[in-house]
Amino acid sequence: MKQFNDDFKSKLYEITEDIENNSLVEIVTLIKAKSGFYRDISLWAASVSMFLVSSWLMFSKFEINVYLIYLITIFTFIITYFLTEIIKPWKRFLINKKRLKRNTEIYGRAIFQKGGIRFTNEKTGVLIYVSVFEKQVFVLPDRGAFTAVPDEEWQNINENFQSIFNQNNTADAFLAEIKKCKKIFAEYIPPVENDINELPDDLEVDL
Amino acid sequence: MINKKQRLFYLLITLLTFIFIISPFFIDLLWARPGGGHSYSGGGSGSGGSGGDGIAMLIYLIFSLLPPYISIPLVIVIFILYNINQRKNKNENKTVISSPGFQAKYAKHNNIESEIQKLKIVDPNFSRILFLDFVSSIFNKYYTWYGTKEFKNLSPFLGEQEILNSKRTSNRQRITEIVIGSMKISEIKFFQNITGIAVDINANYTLTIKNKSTRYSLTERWYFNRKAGILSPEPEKMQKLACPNCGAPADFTDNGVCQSCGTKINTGEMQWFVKKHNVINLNVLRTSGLAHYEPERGTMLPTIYQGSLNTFLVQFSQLHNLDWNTWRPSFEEKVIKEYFFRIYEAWSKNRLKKVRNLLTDRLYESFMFWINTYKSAGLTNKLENINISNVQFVRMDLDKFYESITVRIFASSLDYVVDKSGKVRGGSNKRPRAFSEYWTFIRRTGVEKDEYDYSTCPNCGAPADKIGQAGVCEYCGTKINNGDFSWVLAIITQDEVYTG
Repeated sequence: MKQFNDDFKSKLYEITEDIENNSLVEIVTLIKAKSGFYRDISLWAASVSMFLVSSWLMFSKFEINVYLIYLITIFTFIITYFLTEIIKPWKRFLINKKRLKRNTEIYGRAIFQKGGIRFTNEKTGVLIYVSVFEKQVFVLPDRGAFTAVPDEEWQNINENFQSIFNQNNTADAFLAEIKKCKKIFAEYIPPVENDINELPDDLEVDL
Repeated sequence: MINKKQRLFYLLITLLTFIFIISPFFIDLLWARPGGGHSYSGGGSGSGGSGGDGIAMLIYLIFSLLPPYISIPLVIVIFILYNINQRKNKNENKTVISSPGFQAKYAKHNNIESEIQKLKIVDPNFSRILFLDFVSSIFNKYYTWYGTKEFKNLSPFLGEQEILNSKRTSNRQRITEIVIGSMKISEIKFFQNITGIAVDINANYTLTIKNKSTRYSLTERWYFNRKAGILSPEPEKMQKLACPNCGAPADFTDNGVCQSCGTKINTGEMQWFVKKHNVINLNVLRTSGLAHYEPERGTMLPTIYQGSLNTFLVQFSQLHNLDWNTWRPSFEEKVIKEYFFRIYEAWSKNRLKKVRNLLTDRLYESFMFWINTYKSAGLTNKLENINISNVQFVRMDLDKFYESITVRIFASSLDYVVDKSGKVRGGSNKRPRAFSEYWTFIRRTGVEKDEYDYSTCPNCGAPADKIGQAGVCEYCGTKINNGDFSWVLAIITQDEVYTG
């Protein structure tokens, strides 16, 4: 999340404004560190390691103090739990990809609803939701925008956004991708003269 | 309801307890283990009645069984891991959203300011204060007349789409008690034939359907249009809903013909009209959190000064033939501080009528709404021992009809909420709370008097004991709270939301 600093925010706001000036779409970008806690994964990892360690201690040929066995078992549980919580790639590795994707989608849809992105007259709101831990980008267009842009373009947009996690600097890659959307939106959803933004600049989404 | 952290804590405790309970079985097994075992010389485990015992036992075991060079680093490692995890979780609750940062907001605000100056070149009659008064009237009447036959009186001020939309709604709905909290120009657009201004309005109202009422708090964006290049009407036609041709109170036919002068008022030809409006945010207003206090968020924020403040100060000094350095302290004492103390004293005592003459209609209505909301919840907000530590002049606007001054006031006070029995329900009546607010005062251009004469009506000189809710002296019938006689307080903005 460190990459998504104030400088990034300023750039993102400028790009979004530029897109909205050249198209009827109203883009809301939301970046969250994660779309779920997945504590069950850490607890499972801790339990499994505790079981393995206690099994080894039980049948080990070495002589170990009985209370030390007890201590090591619990200590293994605690350490594994915290390490799994802290080491994100390890935790992500343990979670099923489908679950990561599904959680991002659930969160994205909830934000779309709660953030009132559907409150545009022409239904041209587009949510771009980035979930950093899951390494997922979920693009959710409202009905008007969805039907105005061919599905092939939406698929391209989705694929391009997904590729930002392969880059070294995710934030810059994201800005580059969102910039590319300007052309697509301007082409398929051109601006209407004498119209205004219908979504607030300061969207409050508290989930 | 327990949260996730608590759930995890209980889970760990249960696990520890469980391990303690089953540990004797393990011990038996361990005794039988090849290589033998060790006898335990001290301490005994409890039956796992409480989690605290388990953790204490664990720490005890670490320290008693392991040598200090292992046990101490071990406990430190657990502690560090726990803290890293806590800090990470804290950071992970942050959300980045494509909203403008402080700099972008400031830049946007400056942009709007320069657009207003551009508009003033084309329309020297344009006054932000008068325009917002007009917007306030339209907003108020739009909802008051919604679904009633009087709605036709708005026909010269509404675009076709707005009229069509209004006809779709059920006429069983009634909107009452409309209170506008704040209004802000959010966009100005210039086209070849049209000028457009978008205004964000924070308000609340009561919606009644089949005798069941709900109070809503909402933010709406209203977009006004008019023909490019026309002049704004004079103040009398802006401050209330009136025929832009003859100035008679709004009384129009469905086709927009003034019943008084017979002129057909085509939308946008003489006055602003609503092209469209949409809801940005709408929530049911609940009074359950009235006594809840959040920490002050904006007191430490830097003060936002108007870019062209010095130019306006010079202009103001020349206009009134005064020396700014001499006038400023006097204004600070006689108007800012005096008004501040009087208004907040009246607020604390729920006697806002006493300062009716110092507040514009909109601000008074907003204050009254909150006082009544507190009252209906059986609460009173008290502000005591008010102390002003600093006053900063941040903004000045001068136009053909009005001048306004905005100051940032740094103050502290005991700020708390009491119930009917006098019990403190929120805040503190012992510890002062420091805060800052931006106050905007307005006065009609050409008026020289600064402070208000609190004991008499500034128009007829009669005792100021009969000033009604509308700010009208009952002796002479003159409205005395619109800045025609001296400064009145028009806007209070909290420091964390002030953008200039």
